[in-house]
Amino acid sequence: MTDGNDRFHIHRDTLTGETVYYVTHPTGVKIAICPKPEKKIAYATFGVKYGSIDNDFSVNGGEFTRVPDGIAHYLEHKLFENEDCGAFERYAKTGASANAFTAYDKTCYYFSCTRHFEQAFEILLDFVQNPYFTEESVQKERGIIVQEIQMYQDSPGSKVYSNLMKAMYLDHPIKNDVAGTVESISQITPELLYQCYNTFYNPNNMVLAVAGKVDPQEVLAMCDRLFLPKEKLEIVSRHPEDNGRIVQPFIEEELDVPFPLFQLGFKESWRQLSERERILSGIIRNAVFGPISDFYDRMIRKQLINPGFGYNSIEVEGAMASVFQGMSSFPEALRDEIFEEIERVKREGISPRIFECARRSSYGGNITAFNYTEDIADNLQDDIMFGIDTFGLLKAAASVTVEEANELFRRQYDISNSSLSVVRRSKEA
Amino acid sequence: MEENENNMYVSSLGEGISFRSVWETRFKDACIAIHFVFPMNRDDVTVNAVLGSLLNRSCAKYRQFSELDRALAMLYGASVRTAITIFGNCQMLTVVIGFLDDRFVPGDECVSGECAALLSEIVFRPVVGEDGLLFDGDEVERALRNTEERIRSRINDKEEYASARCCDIMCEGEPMSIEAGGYLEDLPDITREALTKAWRKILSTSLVEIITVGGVNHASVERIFAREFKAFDRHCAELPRLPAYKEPIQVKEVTERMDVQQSKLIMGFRLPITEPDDRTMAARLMSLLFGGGTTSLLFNNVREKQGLCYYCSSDYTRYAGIMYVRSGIEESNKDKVVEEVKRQLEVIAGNAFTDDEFNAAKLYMISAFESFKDSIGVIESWYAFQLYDGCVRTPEQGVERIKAVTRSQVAECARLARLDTVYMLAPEASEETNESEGGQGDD
Repeated sequence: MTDGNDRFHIHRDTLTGETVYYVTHPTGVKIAICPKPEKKIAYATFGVKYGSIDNDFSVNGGEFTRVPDGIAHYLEHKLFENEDCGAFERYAKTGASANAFTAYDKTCYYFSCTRHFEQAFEILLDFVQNPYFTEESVQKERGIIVQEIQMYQDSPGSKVYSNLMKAMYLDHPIKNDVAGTVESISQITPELLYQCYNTFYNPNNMVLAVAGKVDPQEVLAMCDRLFLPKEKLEIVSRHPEDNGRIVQPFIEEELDVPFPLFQLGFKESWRQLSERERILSGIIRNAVFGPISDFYDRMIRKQLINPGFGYNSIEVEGAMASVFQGMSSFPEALRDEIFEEIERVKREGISPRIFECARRSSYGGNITAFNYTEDIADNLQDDIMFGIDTFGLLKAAASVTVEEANELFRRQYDISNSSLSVVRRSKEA
Repeated sequence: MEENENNMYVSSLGEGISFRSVWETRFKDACIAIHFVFPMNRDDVTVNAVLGSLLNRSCAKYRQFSELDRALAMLYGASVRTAITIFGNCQMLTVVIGFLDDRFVPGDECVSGECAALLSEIVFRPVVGEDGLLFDGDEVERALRNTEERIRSRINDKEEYASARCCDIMCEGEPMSIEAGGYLEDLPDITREALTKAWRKILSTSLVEIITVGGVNHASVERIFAREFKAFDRHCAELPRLPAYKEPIQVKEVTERMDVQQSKLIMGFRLPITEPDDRTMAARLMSLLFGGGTTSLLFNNVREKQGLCYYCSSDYTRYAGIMYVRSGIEESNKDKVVEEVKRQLEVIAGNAFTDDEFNAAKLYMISAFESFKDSIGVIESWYAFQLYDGCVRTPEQGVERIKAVTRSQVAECARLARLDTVYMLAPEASEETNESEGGQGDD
């Protein structure tokens, strides 16, 4: 028996035609469900607001504990193993495709399936809520994670990014790789894993999002049956004070790459962005530096960028930046051109015609974000975790103006607070 | 012409030109793709790769890339992508436009109609210079430089690099070893004349597949492309048969060294099973059971039980009859991993896998096939990649074929697999490990 729809807050969106069912479960887990009966797939993601940056924390006002870097990621690996058998082995009976990932500020466990949703859902909720670590199993996992760390160390792309973080952040844990180092993970013990688990994997710190071929009431009924209540904890995760300034404007590493790789980051002071600012930030990057811009065209002609040139944003608590990346034979010259363009646009503003191109593109992108069950649930989960109004983004994309964009642009892109990271072959080579 | 229960409309637009429209209203986007399929030729791969990279950057109507990109952005973020893929002895040049479904477009703009017209502009009316040759000289120069950068940067991805090296060694002299992305040594010969010739050849002699998926009015797309192709004197070449099976005589073992921390192990196997062989589905299931994801024997034994790697997976290509096993490992564990991989293949060959393992692989594959229908892009490529299959099947028919595969058929496929090459990309030798490696072909 289910409780009917009265437990849900239901949002029916006119622009996308989607309906999302929201509820905070009595245990504290926040839930969002987007039923899409026309789909073959059902997808669920169970996430905890806990990632690699949460390595210094206190519970219920107690002493702060500093744990080894990479422990959130290690914990993610180890949760897949229960006392009797592993989660993958259990999933195997359902045909579900399951996995997990750890980011700076979250850890998410997910699966998608076309059949046996109930069984797979039960496995997901069960293994995430029932940790089982032994000395032996923790030891065995170390070899696997060392290989994972080494895999990234052989990637020049990961190197250039990781160096940029070190050039931009003195103390913020974003400067450390999510998986930690071979050295830091050697200090991880079952006791430490349990301590982190018992702190962060608390229902009040968790978000479940489900999308696709599912019935919201049935999902909620399963949650009622499977969620384990726990005492609510006051968790404080602290990060060393960041003075808001970069550490160094330039960082370089010599690696045997055929062409230099670069990342150029503009550091900003961290704040909670409004939905309009969020949408505008993307539109600005596209309109000022993207393939539709005059700048991009000029840089291609000057041979300072190639079609691989791209950009994104970094946003985790305490750290915010816009980052440009790609391959360029002359990264320093490109950086100077980007600086000049920033100053020009701050003076003259963004072309209203190009702004409209970027705005329409953003609008289309925010509609098609509701195409795939996986994307829908991932976005809903993120938005709940970090306080973003999912449908507010789309409304913003329909209505933002070039004046707002110019106003925001003038506050972003402080060229005196940017770092350039380059990986290239040694000059002697 | 036919329209069946799968909302599919199929027609022919002339010699070797098939048109397929899958009507779907379950999506917020739609796409129109045109695929040109032609026999693989070592002499043409580089010019074709450069052509592919030029086509979606301009057209006579939008001569600059930024103009074209703005036009696409105004169509609510439409995008044009080109790709060159290889299957068996053939190459496929794809130009695909993806766009927001008309139902979600504010106002009454017909984005699908504009995108169909834009795709035909891009494919059939590239920029023409005063000399009658295609493309802008500066744009070609940039494309050549980008191609060079792309080819030379393959080494940045060590897994991809190691896989390509394994393929080079294993399939030397065979079409499978030809790089679709092109070769550095060919670049100096790629001129606007060569590109113009390659473009004409592809449009006049390729087998063409035009596929639309989504809420697209097929009649108007059909009309546009039928008209465009009339301008070409078409004489479509026959597709070559897929490469014949080549029994490995001796296992080739090669270790190469580079400044890396993790060793990449690639093992290449050959199977005498290529399309349209009835056993390809069993071979796919065998590869999935062997190393296709978290239910597989390689994942569970090499990674989970022995903790030797972060990943160890297998994939089988039904157009070439080749299966690769790929893993990132500690160099000192090479023998252990190779032995375990061989052992797990023997488990399958000996029909000694459990029913649970078999059913898990089967269910996983069925779910994957069933989920194909949830993506416009996957539906599109599902139909594009059936040229060699003997007939065109729906994903549902695919599911039925998986269900019919038996344990002994899977075991039989594993018995037919022959190890051909063991390739390893390893860290540069330190003082202690700097010793003779033995084995054939080491360097």
